[in-house]
This record gives sequence, C-alpha cells and structure tokens, in this order.
Amino acid sequence: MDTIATLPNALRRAAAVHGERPALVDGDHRWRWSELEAVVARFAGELAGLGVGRGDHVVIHRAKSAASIVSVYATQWLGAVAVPVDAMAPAGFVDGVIESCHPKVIVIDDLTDARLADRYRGVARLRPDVSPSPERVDVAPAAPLDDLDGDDAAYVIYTSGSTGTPKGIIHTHASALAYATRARATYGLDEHDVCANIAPLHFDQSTFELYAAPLAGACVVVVPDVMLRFPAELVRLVAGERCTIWYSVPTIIAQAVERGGAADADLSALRWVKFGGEAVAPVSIRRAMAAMPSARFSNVYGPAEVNQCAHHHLDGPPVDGTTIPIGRAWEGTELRLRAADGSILEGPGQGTLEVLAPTAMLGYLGDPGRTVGSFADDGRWYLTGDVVDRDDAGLLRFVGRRDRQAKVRGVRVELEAVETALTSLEGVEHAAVVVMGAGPDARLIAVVEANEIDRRRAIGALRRVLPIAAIPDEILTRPELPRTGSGKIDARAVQRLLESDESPRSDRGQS
Amino acid sequence: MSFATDLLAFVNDEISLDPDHVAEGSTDLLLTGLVDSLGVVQIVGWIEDETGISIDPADVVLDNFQTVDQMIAYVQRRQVA
Repeated sequence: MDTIATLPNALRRAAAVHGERPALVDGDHRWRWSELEAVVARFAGELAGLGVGRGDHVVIHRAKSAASIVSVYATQWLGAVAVPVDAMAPAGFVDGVIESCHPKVIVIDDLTDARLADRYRGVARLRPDVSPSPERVDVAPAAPLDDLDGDDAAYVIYTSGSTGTPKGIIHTHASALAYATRARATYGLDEHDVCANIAPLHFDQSTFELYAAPLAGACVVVVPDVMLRFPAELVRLVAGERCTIWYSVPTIIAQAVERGGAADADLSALRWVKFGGEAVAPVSIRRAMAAMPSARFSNVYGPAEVNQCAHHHLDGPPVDGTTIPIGRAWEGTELRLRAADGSILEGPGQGTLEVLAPTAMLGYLGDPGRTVGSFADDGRWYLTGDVVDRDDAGLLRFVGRRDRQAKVRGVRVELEAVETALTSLEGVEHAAVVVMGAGPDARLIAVVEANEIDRRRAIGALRRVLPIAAIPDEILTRPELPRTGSGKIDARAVQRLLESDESPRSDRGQS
Repeated sequence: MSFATDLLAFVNDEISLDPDHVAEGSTDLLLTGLVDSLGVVQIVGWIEDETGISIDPADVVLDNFQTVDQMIAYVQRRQVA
C-alpha cells in the first residue's frame, strides 16, 4: 500500500478504490465515495473562487450536516485549514475565534448567518450546496493542491482557555493521518464499516469519522447536533443504518440506554462502542454492555492536543468501586509519568502524564509562548497536566487534573474562565466554581459572594460569553467565601463546604 | 389559563437558556439553543405531572418536541387516543 501523506489523497484513494460504495449518509441523502469526491471538488471550487488558498482559514459555523463535513474536506482540498465552530457557541466565543484565525470565508447556515448579523461583514459568507443538482451551476470543480504536504496545517480545534479567550489547537495532515492510521488499525476499520458520527465537528472525537473512515473506505452516518438531545431518535438512527461503530462521550451512551430504548432496539451490527472524554461510572458501562451485547467496549484517552494516545479494550463488565483504565499507549506513542519531585517515575505509582506521539498538534494558533510551555524536551513531549496512576501491570488510570480544568458532560471547562465571567456580573465581586459528582452526573456549581442574585439574569448574561457546558447548573450565594492564606478565594474549601452540605438540590438554579 | 399558555410560560420562565429571547409557540427551541438536553428532560417531566399522561421515551423525538406547538399537538393526540 502506498503511503498517503495528505487528507485529500485519502479521499481520492477512497473514491478510486471504493467509488461505488457508500461514503456519507445524512437523513435521506446518500453519497457514494465517487459522488462525495465530486461534491468536495465542486465546493472547493466555490471556496477557491472566494480566494481561499493554501494556509487560509475557513471557519465552519453551522448546524452539523453532510454539508459541514463536505466543507471540512473541501477546505483541506485546497491546502486551507478547516476551523469547525459550534453553531450554538456564544457570540463572544465565535468573535474570539474569528479574531484569532482571521478566516477568508465563514461557512454558515441561516441561523448562524442571523446570529453573526452585521459582525465581520468584511469576511465572505458561504452556504454549501451539496445537492446532486446544485443551484450554482457556473462553478468549476477545483483540483486538489498538488504540492500539499504532511506538515501543512489541516484543521484547528478551539477550546475555551482559562482567561476565556479561545485557544486554537492546530493539527497537520501528518498528525491527523498518524491518528487515522492507528485508529483504523486498532478498531479493524474496513469498507464494510458504518461509523455513527455522534460527536460535533468542533470536538476532536469526530476526527475518527472524518479521517479514519476515508482511509478505510468506511461509511459515515451524520448524527445532527439536535439529535443528541433525543436519545430514542439517535438509537433509531444507529439501528436503522446498521452502524458498526459508536464513538461518543459516556453520557450519551448512558442516555441511549436509560431513555433511548437501546436494549429493545436492534443494535446487533455494532462491533465497537468507543467512549472517552470524561470519567465514567462502571455501572453505566455495565448497563450499556447488556444493551449492546454484540459490541466490544473501548475506553479512549487523549487530550485534543495529542488526539487519542491510549486506550483500553474492556474484557468484561467493569466492577463497582473500580476505575476503568485508560490503558496503554498505542503504536508509535510513548507515555511517561513525572513524579512530584520532577523525576520520571519507573514502575507503579502516580504522576503527571507526558506524551510523545506522532499524533501531537503543531501548536496553539498565534500563541508560540503557550506552545513552547506545553511541551518538554525540545517540543517533543506534550505535558497533559493530567494526573495518572500506573498499576503493577502497567495499566494507566486517570486520577484528576493538576490545574483547574474540568470535564463536564464531556466538554472541557476552564473553571477560572467561568469565575471570570461570573465576576463580570453586576454585584458579584468574587466567585468560586466547582464540579460536584463525576461522569454523567457531574454538575457545575457556582458560589458567589453576594447576599442575593437574579439567577435568571445571571445565566442569561453568562450564555453570551460561555459555552453551554460551562454554564453553572446552580448558582448559590454566600455572604463570604473561604480564602486561602494569601487571601485568594479557596475553591477547594468551597468544594468541601458543598460536599458537607446534606441537601443536594437538583434544580437549575432558578429561584 | 390553558395548558398551552402554561407550557409556554414554563419554557420561557424555567427552561430557556436565554431570558432576552421570548419563545413563541412556533419557535424552534432546539436550533435556537434555547433548550438543551437537560431542558428536554425537564419539559417531559413537567408535561407528565401536569397532564397525568406518561410519555414513552420513544416518543421523545424531534418531531414532537422541537416547538411548544408540536408539544401541544403531541399531548392532544395522546389525550384523544
């Protein structure tokens, strides 16, 4: 097999080898690999007509559909860089992304167009037309850029940084393909597989369907963003399309089992259920295993900066009171643990995880200082900031974060950014944000130093600057917050205070 | 107060993530981001409490819950049946 160095080449090869096989499914619309290649070349032609070329950024800001995926491929076809942004992202976040990457084009739909309103009128906006008989007929398909190479940037995934400014993680064609090649081999992906694309495109789990599927000639079934709120509908789609691979955060799997009727649906085509992105209770995976008996289950680990770098295939139902391992490194990847005294830990014990991997990012967009700071040893070892335990057998288990980054329902949340947003509210001078519970039950609780607060107003104001996952489930007030010796708000003490409270409440903080 | 008015008020006052945006019966609550997955679960619970009908999880689908009007139509179908 010849080596594939770029993502457009992977797409072209899939079209050449598997041309008549299914490539993409979105509702009633289906594309074979040959048709998908033609649609990508055509949309690339439209982008090229707007001046998009090598190294330019294209922001893809629309509700997920097949057209969103075509937009990613068409951007990369031209050697440009795809930047998927949540259609529901708050205006402040979208503005931050646009000001950070200066896109040549923003790919929109009616809703995001209306939300952008008059902001960034100087940037071209484009609605993709992926129908077999497109309305705009005067567009010539573009040829893929022929001198593109593996070190060219391919996509940027933005997360919210601790200051609230979006942080762009740049991946190259080489890092994307290093991931895709290993993912394909690890899960034995071939042209008969049907991958449910559950994760949104701005979340790195979707790189499995976006990049590993073309390498294998596998088919991708698009799960629209809104369907994630309707587990029964998601289960029906996965059953109806005879999907063979499910990859999502554990929360969505738990919802499919508890509210989506997964146990009663015919999910017998499922070979693999991959989960990752957050901690998960053994019971939730046990129930899923009972409801999806044909599938093997695999826990996946890896920050977006290095993509997947470790995994653990479960041999049987996990037992209560245990932590499901994140396993071991996959091929070509090294993991090491740094102990508290700065030495590299040999054998079992706890330390901060560092990763040497061909799947690692190029760096943070426009932030060389942060890039340098996040790697050790001449930019080779990525410092995850994740504290991990290694047992006698060499299996790794996630313990927690060294800093104040948290995972809530699978989304990375910088607690400091939420606190900053809270203190920008009228009448709030100090705030502490903590996570209570774990996995699907994780809840974000804010405690503000105030006598009272209009919670509805507060949540409305936060919605404008924070992603939905970062909106506190509850906002509590206290006349005074605990402080550390140096006078800073002591978030750990706040957490202990809440944990000792005997009255867990489950409302969303409305008064 | 009718069930329809009550439901709309509940969605706007208790569930909506954006107090500046007042939803109407025909507003798409999902694409506009006014209601997240937790909100859908809360709406289902509220309708069950208010009407006494029990909602099968298989009925909790986009076609029945995208707008308040669709929720009302769903409840009416269930009450007739």
